[in-house]
Amino acid sequence: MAPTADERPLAEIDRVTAGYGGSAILQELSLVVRSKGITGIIGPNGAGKSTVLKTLLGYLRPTSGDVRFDGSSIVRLAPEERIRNGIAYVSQSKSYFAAQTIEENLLIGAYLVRDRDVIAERCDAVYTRFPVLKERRHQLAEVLSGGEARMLELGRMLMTAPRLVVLDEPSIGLSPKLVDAVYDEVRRLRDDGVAFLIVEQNVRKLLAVGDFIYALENGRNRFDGSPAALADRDLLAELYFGRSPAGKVRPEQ
Amino acid sequence: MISEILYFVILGLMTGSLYSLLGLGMNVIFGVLRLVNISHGDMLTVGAYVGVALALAGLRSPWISMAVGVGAVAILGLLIARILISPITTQGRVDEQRGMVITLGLSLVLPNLILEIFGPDYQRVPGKFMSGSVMIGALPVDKQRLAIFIGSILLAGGLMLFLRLTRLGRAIRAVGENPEAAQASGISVRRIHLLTFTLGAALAGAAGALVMPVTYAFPAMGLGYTLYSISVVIIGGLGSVRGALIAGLMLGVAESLSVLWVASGYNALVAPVLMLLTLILRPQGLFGQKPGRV
Repeated sequence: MAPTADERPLAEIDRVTAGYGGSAILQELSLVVRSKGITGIIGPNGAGKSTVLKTLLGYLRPTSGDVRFDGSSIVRLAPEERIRNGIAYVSQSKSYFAAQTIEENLLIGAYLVRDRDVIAERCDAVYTRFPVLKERRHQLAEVLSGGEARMLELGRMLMTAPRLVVLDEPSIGLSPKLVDAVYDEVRRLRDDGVAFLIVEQNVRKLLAVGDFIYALENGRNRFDGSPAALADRDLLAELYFGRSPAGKVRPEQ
Repeated sequence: MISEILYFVILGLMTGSLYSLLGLGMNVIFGVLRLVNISHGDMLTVGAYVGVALALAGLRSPWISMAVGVGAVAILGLLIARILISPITTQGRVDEQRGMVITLGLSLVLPNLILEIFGPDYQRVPGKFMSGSVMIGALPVDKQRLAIFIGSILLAGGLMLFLRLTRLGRAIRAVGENPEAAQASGISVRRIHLLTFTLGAALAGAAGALVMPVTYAFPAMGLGYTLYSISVVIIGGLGSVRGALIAGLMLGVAESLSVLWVASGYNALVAPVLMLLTLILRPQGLFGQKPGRV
């Protein structure tokens, strides 16, 4: 059967070995992000989740292997050139500009867009999606609460009209209610056709929203498949608690 | 007495505008690259000596020597940024200690190069932007000093508007605040660093060209201006453009007024004393952000 549009790979990490100062964190890791839906990466600390993202975004150059986006190799491109190609990134630390107004944050997000009409259009689209940003557009971003700041980060990266959005720990530092709110937005954007690659410590949440999951261990791929398939195995408990098949972790309903 | 005070205030504003311009350049470089540029004053020296060289070659127009001086210093700044600063930059920030050592080295090399070429003598450039004086109220003010004031304020104001209103200016501020997020917005942090250092150096070069007609040039003149720049940055607040502008003017006025009460040889103490007072009473400076926020 020919792959459907949903299964067509958008980004590919192909047998990548990468690490810092000679020690390899990723060992010939391969991973595919589909052009539709939410691809999630889970794994214990030190499994190499953030390293995968850094390799995909160009902050880290692999010692071997290839990184492709939309069919062509991007492994030699600088981070900002990858953004230009249609990847957007929200890091786990503050990924916005607290000393600038909300509107300025969006304009910085639109740095690569030259057409003023397009910028205005996308600003409006972001304000429609996140009305709270519109109310406070002329205030400094430092006044935003944790959840609102996440919305601003999402809004900022929407300004480039990305095809792939990479999120590093979007639930970090947020209350459960706000985590839900952030993931509601992620789901809504997914339904609008944006592809996601998400790294999460909050495994339950990611299993609940993800369409395809990779589980990493020691820089290698331990599992790939649907969240349901993962939940049916004892792998999760094994990954996080060692070899004890006692408790299964089930995705949130 | 009142008119005397007023006179010294006006004189102070004029020197102060020069301090503002210097502090502004240093502050923008620090705010974006996190680099304390110890050789900032030497950029002024280079700008001044370009004027000297052109005058020795027979050129008398201060406008042309200013344009050439600013251009030369901008190119020098770009080369320094590309060859010396880029290699010690990781993740959008210059390595603090290595940056200090390299610019300290520059502040030794540049004056000595100039010493080698032009000799140790004080040099005077004949060309003036304007000659004569105007009356402000009942006070005669040297037109050349007025030109320094107007030139500095125009450049400083232009820079502020550029940073606030243009796409490139926003990108510069974005890199200063959060290089990672700036890069995630598609901004080339490397290029913004080159641009910012070049811009800061060019401003110091412009200061050199402006001040040249009213002062003497000598190879080691930069050190004093570096110290003024550092004072302005600390008093105004690290990273604050508005702070540098106001602190420079304040410093100029305070220094100028001090001659009314203390012997004029001591006015060199005004800047360090104000800097110390700021560090004790308001360590973040007049317009600086509280420490702990990036």
